[in-house]
Amino acid sequence: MKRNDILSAMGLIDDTVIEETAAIRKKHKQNTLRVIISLAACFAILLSGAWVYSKTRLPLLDITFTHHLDSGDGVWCYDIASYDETNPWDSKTPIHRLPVYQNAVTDENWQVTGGLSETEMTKLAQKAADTLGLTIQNVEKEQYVGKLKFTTDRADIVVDPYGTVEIVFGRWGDLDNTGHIPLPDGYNFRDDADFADAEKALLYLVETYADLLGFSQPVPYLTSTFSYSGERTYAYRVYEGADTAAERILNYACKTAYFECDENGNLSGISITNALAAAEKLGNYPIISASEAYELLLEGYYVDSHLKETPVDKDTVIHKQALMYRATIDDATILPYYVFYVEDPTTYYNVAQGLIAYNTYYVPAVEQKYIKSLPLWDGTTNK
Amino acid sequence: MRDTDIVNLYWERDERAIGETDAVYGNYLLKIAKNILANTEDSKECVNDTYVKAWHSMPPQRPAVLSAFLGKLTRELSIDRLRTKTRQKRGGSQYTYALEELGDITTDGDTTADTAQLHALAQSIGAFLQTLPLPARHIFVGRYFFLDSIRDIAAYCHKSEGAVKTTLHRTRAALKEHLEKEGLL
Repeated sequence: MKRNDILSAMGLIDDTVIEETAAIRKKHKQNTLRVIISLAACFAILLSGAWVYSKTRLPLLDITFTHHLDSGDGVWCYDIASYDETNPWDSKTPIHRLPVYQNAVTDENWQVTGGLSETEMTKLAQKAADTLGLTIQNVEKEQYVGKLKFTTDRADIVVDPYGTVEIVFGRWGDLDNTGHIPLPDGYNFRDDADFADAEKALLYLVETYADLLGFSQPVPYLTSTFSYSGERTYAYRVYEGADTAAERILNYACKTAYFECDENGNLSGISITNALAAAEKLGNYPIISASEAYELLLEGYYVDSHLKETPVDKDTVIHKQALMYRATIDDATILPYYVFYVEDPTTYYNVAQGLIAYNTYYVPAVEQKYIKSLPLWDGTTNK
Repeated sequence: MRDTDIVNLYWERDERAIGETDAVYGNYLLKIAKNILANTEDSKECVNDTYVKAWHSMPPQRPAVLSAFLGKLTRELSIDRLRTKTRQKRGGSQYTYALEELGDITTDGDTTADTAQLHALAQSIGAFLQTLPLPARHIFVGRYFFLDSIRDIAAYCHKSEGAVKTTLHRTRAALKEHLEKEGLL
């Protein structure tokens, strides 16, 4: 045996023994630092504290909503557990910070502040047209929200200042759906498609239109909506995946696309949203835990999705909760919320047996100290 | 950020894992490396190598004590670097001093222990350390795991340098006796 062996063996001793001494070393270092800091603090604060604070602090969030769209009624479904299963948030994955953005805003006169310029919108339309082999023939500005509608030989392309590009195949006013694009034989893209058929069609569409979507890690997913009579319809969606949980959660709301079919199972339109295209990043904000959000919910600190507010208390059953961003035209600030699903106590008639309505309550997931105001909101949900 | 969160970042292959590790443990690891290498530039490289090794180790590993896990990596990498790169004399390395002190326990034999023997030796030393009073254990681990200087150990254990030297001397003698009883010397 050599002396080296003793030192090598010391490198293999139990972690807890190492940790025990590491704690003593660290404590000593912190104490030393405290002394140094206490002596230097006065000078440091006087000379540079204010400057550093102004450069690093996160802006306070003034959460406001615009009310340009019709309000929604929460969620209808048979099994709330399976609702929004594709949400990339996982309660077991700790999220400490998430980015918050200032969204473009439309005022009472439908004028947009902070959105994409017409030049930027034109570039987006031209790129979509080039990818699809379309020729732009005409451009007109729509009355509301400053959208630009580009007429091409085989489709209309509508771009809004929020970064959404919508392609409607065929020509405006063609009532017989000429111009819609059939899927190859073997694909069922009609409203009555079952899950397997819908999934197969979705994968085909995502692959076929990959260049148009421009997603580097496309994550296709199906969501269900139910009519009062209980008929299920699938929505064909895809979002931009990412390597981190935080980015996936952000992209799930902000970098998305969906495909629309007509009654014959032909592709009638594609909508691609990049809600961050026109948004300004405010910073990465500390995020509260789901249990902290629940405490805030009990204190009434939330926005709810329905016109008649139904308070939540300790006896209220929370059927589901999730973390998600809201990034619609109604949201002046794009930030994450904890969403709580509570069964709607209203009695509905002529609704399919077993179909249940849920109200949704949105608690901002950003630490309260960063929120300047939280107005009551009768907003819109479940986009 | 907590250790479990940092480990999760490694498992998610999130490159922020490196930055968070550096923020929490950068100085701690640099100190270990400098104790061994007595050279800031080499030490920084070893710390960077530690992050690379941690990145390739997690997954599959999920260390329960991240500081110890990283400390071991840095220690091992630094010792390797010292052995391979500096056959030349390098003054001031605590590794060199510690090595000299361990001459109390064993004079260099002809053969180096293999991996199995090293693990058996580590287990035996671990058992021995559990028998020590807490201050003596901190001093011993500080000196022969972290390769801290006598002065540093005296500072964080609130003892005089002379007391630390005496404790180390007595502990080495006790360890020698323990290893002989175990048949490891």
